[in-house]
Amino acid sequence: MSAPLLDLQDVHKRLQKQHVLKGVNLQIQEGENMVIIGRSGGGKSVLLRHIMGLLRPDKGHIFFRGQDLTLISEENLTTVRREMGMLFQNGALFDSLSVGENVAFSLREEGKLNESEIIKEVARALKIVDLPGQENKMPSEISGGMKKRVALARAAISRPALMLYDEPTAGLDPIVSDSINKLILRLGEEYNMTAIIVTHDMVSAYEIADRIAMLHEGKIYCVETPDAIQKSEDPIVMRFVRGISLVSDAIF
Amino acid sequence: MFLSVAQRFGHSVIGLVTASGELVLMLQDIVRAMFRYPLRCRLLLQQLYLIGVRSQPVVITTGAFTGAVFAAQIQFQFGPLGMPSAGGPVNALAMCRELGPVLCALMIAGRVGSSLAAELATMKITEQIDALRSLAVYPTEYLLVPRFLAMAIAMPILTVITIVCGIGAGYYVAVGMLGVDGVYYWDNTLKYTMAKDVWIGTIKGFFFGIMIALICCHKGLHSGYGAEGVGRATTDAVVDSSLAVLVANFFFTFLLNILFPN
Repeated sequence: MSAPLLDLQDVHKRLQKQHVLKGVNLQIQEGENMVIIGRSGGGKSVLLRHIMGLLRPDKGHIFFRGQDLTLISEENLTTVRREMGMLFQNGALFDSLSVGENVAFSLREEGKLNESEIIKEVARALKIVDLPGQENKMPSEISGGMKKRVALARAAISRPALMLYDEPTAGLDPIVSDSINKLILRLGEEYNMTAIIVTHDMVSAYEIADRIAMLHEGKIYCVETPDAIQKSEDPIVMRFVRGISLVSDAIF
Repeated sequence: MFLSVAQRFGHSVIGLVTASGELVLMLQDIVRAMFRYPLRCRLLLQQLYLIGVRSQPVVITTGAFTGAVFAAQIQFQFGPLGMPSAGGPVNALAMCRELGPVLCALMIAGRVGSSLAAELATMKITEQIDALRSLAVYPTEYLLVPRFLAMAIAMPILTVITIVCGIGAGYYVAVGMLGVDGVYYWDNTLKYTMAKDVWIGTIKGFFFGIMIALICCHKGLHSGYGAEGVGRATTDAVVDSSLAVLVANFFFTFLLNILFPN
């Protein structure tokens, strides 16, 4: 097997005295779609932020194409981040910029294309996310689902090698969720993007994933194919994927 | 009881020292980013418009009414003593050296500082700053450098506007309303007001601008989460930068008096 695109080794993180990540080990191969599942507040988004370099681990290493991200300064990480894209849970669109300016942001920053080429690329990207002709709207004028699709277009327009999705379908209706799942798959197929998707939505997870990793109590509990996860007899995996709570979970 | 007071005092001192250290590191980061990255002219112009142009009505009103009321009080005291035209230089010196820069800075801390802190705090809690980082942009270079430069450029100009309006309004009140001889008043004003007095005001304005920008950006970027966090960051930004201006003004006065001796 070739060297993994991303290699997380014994990643630990404490946030406000809580030990969120307790030694995460995970390898992700180029071109695969890895879905990370786990309970709310279990550290899935924190893990994604470590991969993007938005948080630094207290201990452990994160290798991207063999380069240890934990040893690179914040300023130099910007170069590495050009190869990554991230879809934030609430979109995180720049509210002072229009939809078109948001989508064009990374192209303008790169400075490789001229303005007419950028306008064409933005129109194409918005068409792919099923929002043609919405360039001049402001983020405050569009719905939550539309914001997520604009954010997806913004993150993917520069065709990064690695896309990180933080709860891409949370709070969306099943039809919009399905369209986002299809978009994630399409981006992977057309541009050979590797994807890491954090989600609670098991329907999406089975549809998108090549492999599913379960984060449990700060560690990767198992990494399996969607089929194996679905058929798993392990009580922790089974409870999560089937959504079964215990009486102790219901105490408040 | 004594221990608790001592602990709180200790916490405040540690907090002050930590914040001062962070401000110095932020200044270092901004200055480095200024030289390392090309200047974003569009963002700088946008900030100059928001900070400089749109603050003019506020500083004009502040300068004019401060100068006017100060000139009136001077005339009420100096008039009976038979030296009404001495009010001109007193008003001009006070506006140039102290009232102009300090009042302008306090108004800018309220108008611009609060919006700087609130904008950055909102960007932080809505993950827009993280989004910026994820799109391979260094936030210091994109967000802080244009705001810092715009404050450093706009504040001396706004200070001069405040001073000019204060002196002009003082002249109008003394000569136009209280009947002081305009020729003597103006002649005395020019005789006793030197270029160095205007320089002192302008230099103070420049440093106050830098201080307000640093404190308000720092408060915005270190805000807590939720509406409460943004509200607190905004309030702290205005209060801390206003206090910093008042305290720093005391030290600047002595320092500038050494640099520009009488």
